[in-house]
Amino acid sequence: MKKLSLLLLTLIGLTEVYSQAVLKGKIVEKSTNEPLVGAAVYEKGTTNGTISDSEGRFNLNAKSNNGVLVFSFVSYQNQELVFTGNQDFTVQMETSSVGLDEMVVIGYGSVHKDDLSTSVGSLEGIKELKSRPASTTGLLQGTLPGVNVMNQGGDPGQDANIVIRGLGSPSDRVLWVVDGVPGAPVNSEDIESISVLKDAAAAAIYGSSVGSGGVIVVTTKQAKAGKLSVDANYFTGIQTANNLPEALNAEEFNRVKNLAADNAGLGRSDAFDASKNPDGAVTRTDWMDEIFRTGKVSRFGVSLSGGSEKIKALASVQADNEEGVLLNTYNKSVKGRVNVDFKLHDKIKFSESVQAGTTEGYSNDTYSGYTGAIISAIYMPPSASVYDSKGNFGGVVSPDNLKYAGAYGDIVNPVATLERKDVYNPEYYVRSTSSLDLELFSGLTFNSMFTVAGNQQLEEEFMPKRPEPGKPLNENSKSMSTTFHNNWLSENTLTYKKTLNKHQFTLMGGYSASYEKTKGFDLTVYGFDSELESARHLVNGSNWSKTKPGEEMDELSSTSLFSRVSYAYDNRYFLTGSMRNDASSKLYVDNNDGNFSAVSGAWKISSEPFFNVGAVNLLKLRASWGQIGNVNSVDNYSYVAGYEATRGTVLGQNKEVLSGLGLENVPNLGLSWETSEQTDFGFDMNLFNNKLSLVADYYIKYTKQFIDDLPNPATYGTPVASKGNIGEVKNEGFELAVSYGDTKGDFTYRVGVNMATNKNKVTDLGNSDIQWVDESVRQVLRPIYNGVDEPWHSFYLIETDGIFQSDKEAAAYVDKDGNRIQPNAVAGDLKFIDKNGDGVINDEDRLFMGSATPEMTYGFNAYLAYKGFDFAMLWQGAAGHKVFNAYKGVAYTASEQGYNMDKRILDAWSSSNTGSDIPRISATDPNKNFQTNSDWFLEDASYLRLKNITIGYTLPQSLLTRVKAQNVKLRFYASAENLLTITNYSGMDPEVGNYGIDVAKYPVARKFTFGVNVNF
Amino acid sequence: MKLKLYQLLLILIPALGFVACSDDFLENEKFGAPSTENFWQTEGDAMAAVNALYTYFSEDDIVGRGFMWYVCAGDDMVVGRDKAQSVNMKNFIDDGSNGYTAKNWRYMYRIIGRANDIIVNVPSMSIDKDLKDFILGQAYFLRGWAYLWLAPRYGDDRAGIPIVKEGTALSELDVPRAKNVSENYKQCVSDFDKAAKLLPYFDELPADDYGRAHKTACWAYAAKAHLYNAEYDATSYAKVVEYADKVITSGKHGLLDNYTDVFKVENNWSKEYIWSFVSSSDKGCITPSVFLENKGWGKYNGWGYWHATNELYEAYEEGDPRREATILKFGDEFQYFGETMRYYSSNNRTGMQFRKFMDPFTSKDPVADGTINANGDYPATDLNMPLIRYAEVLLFKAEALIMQGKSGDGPLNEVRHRAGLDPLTGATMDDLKHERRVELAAEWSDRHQDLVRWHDAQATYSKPLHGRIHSNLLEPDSPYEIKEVWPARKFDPVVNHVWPIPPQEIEQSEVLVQNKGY
Repeated sequence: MKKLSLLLLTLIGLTEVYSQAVLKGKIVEKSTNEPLVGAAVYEKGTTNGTISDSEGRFNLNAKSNNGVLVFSFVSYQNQELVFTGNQDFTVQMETSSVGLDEMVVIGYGSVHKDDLSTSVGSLEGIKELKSRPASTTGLLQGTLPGVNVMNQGGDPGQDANIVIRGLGSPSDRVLWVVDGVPGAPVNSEDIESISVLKDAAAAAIYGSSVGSGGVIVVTTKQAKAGKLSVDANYFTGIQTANNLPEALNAEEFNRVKNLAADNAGLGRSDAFDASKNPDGAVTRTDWMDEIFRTGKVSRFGVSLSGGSEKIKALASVQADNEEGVLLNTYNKSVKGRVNVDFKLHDKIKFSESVQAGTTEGYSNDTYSGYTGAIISAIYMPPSASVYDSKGNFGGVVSPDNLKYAGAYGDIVNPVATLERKDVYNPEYYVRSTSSLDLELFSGLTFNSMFTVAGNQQLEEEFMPKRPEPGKPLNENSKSMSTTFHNNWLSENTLTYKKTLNKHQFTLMGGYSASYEKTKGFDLTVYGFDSELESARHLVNGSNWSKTKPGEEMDELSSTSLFSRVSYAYDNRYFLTGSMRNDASSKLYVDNNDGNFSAVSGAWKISSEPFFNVGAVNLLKLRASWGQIGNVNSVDNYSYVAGYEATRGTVLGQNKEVLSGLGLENVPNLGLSWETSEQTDFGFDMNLFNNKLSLVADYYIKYTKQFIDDLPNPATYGTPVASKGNIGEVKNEGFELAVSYGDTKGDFTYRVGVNMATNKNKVTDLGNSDIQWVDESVRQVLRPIYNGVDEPWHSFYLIETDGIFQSDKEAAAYVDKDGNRIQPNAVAGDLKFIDKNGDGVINDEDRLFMGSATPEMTYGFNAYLAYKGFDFAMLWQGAAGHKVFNAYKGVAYTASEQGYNMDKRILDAWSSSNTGSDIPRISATDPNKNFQTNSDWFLEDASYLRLKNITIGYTLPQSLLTRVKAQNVKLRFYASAENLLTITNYSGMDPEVGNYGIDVAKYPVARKFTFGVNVNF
Repeated sequence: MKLKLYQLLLILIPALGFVACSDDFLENEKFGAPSTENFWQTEGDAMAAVNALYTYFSEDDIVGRGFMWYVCAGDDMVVGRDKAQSVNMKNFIDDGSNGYTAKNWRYMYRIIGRANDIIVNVPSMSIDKDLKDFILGQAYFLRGWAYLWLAPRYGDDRAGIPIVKEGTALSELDVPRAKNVSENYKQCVSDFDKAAKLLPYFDELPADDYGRAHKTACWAYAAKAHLYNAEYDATSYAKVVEYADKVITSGKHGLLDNYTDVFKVENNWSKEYIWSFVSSSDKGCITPSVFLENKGWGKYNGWGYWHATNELYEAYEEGDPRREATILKFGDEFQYFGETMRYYSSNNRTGMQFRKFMDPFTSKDPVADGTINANGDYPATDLNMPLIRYAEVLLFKAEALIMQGKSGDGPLNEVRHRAGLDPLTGATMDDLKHERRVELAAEWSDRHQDLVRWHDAQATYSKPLHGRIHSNLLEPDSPYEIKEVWPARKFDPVVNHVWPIPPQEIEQSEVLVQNKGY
């Protein structure tokens, strides 16, 4: 950030030089008297300015003989001093409680935060947050209003989703722009600041790569001239899962199975009779306990920077290592980068940034309703053992009890599932970004940036045999695939800045082009004689013909032309307009481009001459409107009617597998850009010497012509639905962020509260009123639909009205003709509401019942520092959303083969336990209690979480001076993540991802870490 | 280093040219599988297109379980494992949405769409005339076959299923249901007629083409379509006889001497074969493994889903060898993984397993021998699953004759003769129904569909089903009692005459309507 202000002010400083007064001086930190390097000094009302050098000194030729000098520095309070004639200043700057003078990167430029006319959220207090054991995305949770971070469970390989100002398209995604490069990777340790461009006018300049999601702009640490500095952070810790479900023990399992058979009027199975199958009546394993573990997490990050006026360099590397709480799951990465900036000439700068890294890991698909490790740990018989007597993985029964194997379901030992996994999947990337800045003449600069990047992935998996009884696999295989992805991006802009008295103009125009190519292939070989680790090589496979090798080749190109005009008058009125034209190879050539524009304005009332309220440091009103185009959800070649290779046809006496080709899709040549159009009104206010800051926004966003699958009736005969411009989605909401902070002597504190509401609604679905979203649970439950006037991806369910307390009550539930509405229902079954009154319970009775997107999200943070101690705390919550707890449908029922069940089934309805809301235990389910898309599964998923607590201690300078380490700053800290969650949700954790369908999702874990920061 | 401004500009100008805008840059050619732009050129293209018509014959949702769940709704078997969805299908409280059966609808229309694509594009291709006929013949046959797979299950006199004509414009492609199912049968017969003209006899096919459509299969299916249509229009019976006779008089088919041999892998292509799902252990039908003992006594992943009822066992005449060939009861000897075993089961609901399709499991190491798949999640076998055997063609003819008031004794007794049973004279519909049941038990000929079209379903299903409950389930010789294993069911002939169309298909379409009562 400091570096950025330096950059900008250098540019500004190069403009016009008609000096009168000669000003110089020294800028120091008020409390320590240390010189401040890189502080900005400018003449108020002009763009004339400079920055302080490595000794804190500055020289400035003022434009007039008298005026006001403004001193500013990131996280320090601005100072204004009057000058008359030549003068020498000594300026003491004081830290400000809030980082008010930040420059905010707005895309091909940056602007003073105070001068913004669009809605931009900036992450403050990033230093304290960064020590958290969270991903870069995770850091944002609960910190900015309108930026909704939703964890997709706790798998170390699955990052959180970010939704900015509501969902409006299947391809809502957020664009990360790191140091001006869209899509570049970032190390959390390198982050200097994060701004989120929330409204369309702000994000518009990034254009088509944004989609309707919004932009997160990350500025990393940049090298500073004159000073060599080292920053290091190390933490290590553990993570654990909590609130895990419990399965029935063997005795309970048998009891429930027998009761279920009795209640269904079916014969009991001998397998569940302890006298006939004594082996099955012994509890041997707590499977939940077996699959979970305490995982270790650690991170080491270090960055070095320094240089001279002409060359500055920064190098950083970060290594992360995370063991998941499920056995064998992990994620690890090492990422590094080098930035070098050359000042070739007063008017020519060149920078080169190279990033490289590698990641690998193993995630378990706990979502699978069939073989997910967590659901298998429920299903597995409690009498089964993890290992059999010979030390092999055990199956549903022991090898001497195979005669009863058939009584249990087709379940895979979940410990075996996790432990057998033999995956090697490293991913490597290398990126180079070269950037040239050229001042062509006064006020006109040319910037050219070129990025080239490569990414290679290898995916290897050996699947061993699974001989144990349950769901056996008597065949092993090895599959390998590799994907090579490369892309380049070229961006060229011309910027002209001109100041005429109180009028400030900035004109920017540019052109960008990008190209991506993906190539890859895959193969699978079967039949390995030996499963020794050293023998798991393709050469030992005996069957090479069973699976055909595959090849992938994809290309994507896009171009954009864009321009922006900004005008500011006397630091009071600000106006910005932008236009762009985007074209993409994803669309048919005749309509592959779209035009999008944006305009925004702000009125800084606090700068008006008439405004003279001492307590108010800043008062600004903002308004903006803008459009962004999006084709992210469109596949490449959408306009081609392709033939797909079919699954293989077996014909002939020798049963040859033949290739077939069938029409894949009906192309849509008319497909055009989805447009997200957003209007924003906001105001910013700072009070009491900027101690209190307040930002409020109201937005309304329409995603027009959103792109999704068109209906694909079976009679089309094509497997792949075409994409079409379907309809419109509206999002609107309020956002508020308030923070207050101050320093009193040794005591510094800061508290912040933020909250955001979101009202989301599909306003148009083209020809239909309803659209099924392709998410199902075991192909039985399909709860999610889009409906007109309903939230995006809503739950569409049949309403229940409790449980029938008697057969009589069930029989008395009749339609107007006296016919039973639920003819198969008995006491203990769910009562479904016949909404349309036709006397039958079917899909026609469904109602929309909300969605998984919160109506409100909020956060609260506090930071306290006293002498060497610091304390930070973050609470975060979401409210007004639902989760479809499909886990209940598979774990609270005794009608699913020989699966074990969740302990809560013991509380199911019975004539002696009539208060329960769990339907009766039965081996059959004629009332479809567990197979009906009903609101019985639906739960309120609101929660409040103590996301993080961090306590730190910085060793006093005096102590370090004694060991001759006077420049070293050493801080120790301890941090706890997800310590406490308050929720009524009955599953493991309310953050389940997947549009709110939970089938025992990998839970969000608690983390405890201890770490140290070193700076010198 | 001192760079002059103009030197830098010289570097920059080519850089700008590099990214200059052009439409070519935004048009990328698709690599890989062909598109309509370059398809339908070569014989290979036409062959690949026709191969795609058979691809679902190895898809579990069609040939594995799929509609076998609806066959299970009959009185010959019960659902062997607690599984709410399966139980509900058997009890006629299914809504059609379940993943087991729902895909038939979509996949059949995909076959129809692909056949239409061939029928539109192949005639104008410049390829060998005989090959062209062979390809078009297969396309017509499989189009008709796909309609016939769906039509009786979803369509009746109140509404048929959508008929998608070749060359239908995209805007018309969301086709409404046909007026009634007779329209569908008419369409099927017309396709089978066209196909029969274009296709060779089975014995004229090279061995590599076994499993492809052939002339007598077309006639046999035309007979079947007419037989189903005869439920609504008795004049169709004469047509059944006409088409069955075409098959019979072709002299290309006959019954094997021994009933048990019909279901052996070595007889996949015997003279009794007319049309089967071609199956290999790599890709094919898992049905034999789904019938197999749950977990296969620890040796193989049998799924144990369908168990034979005592009603079926007792339907056989004393001394009918087809009974022991079809059903395995406690104490019966059988070959399994190279061993002689005596049947017992700790989990079989009726105490009886279907034996018909166990040939792939007899050798010592069937995985190594290639008769079964090593993957227990996809336990396909090398046994082709018969769809229409010559014996059924004889029974088509016998039924049609009896229903016309003529004597069906000839073809009926031919079937009985092979079973070593005495011939009947003046056979009635009851005799015919009995013969169809015992000859074709657990096959795709679909006992449930027969009971429905004979209007016997309601009466049959109002009786409970029974099994043999042995005192010691682990002891092949233990005594048993006959007990009810499946309670009586409620079958409403007005509603359950057809199955519910998968509701997800109704949601995808603007014109498709559900069967009444669902």
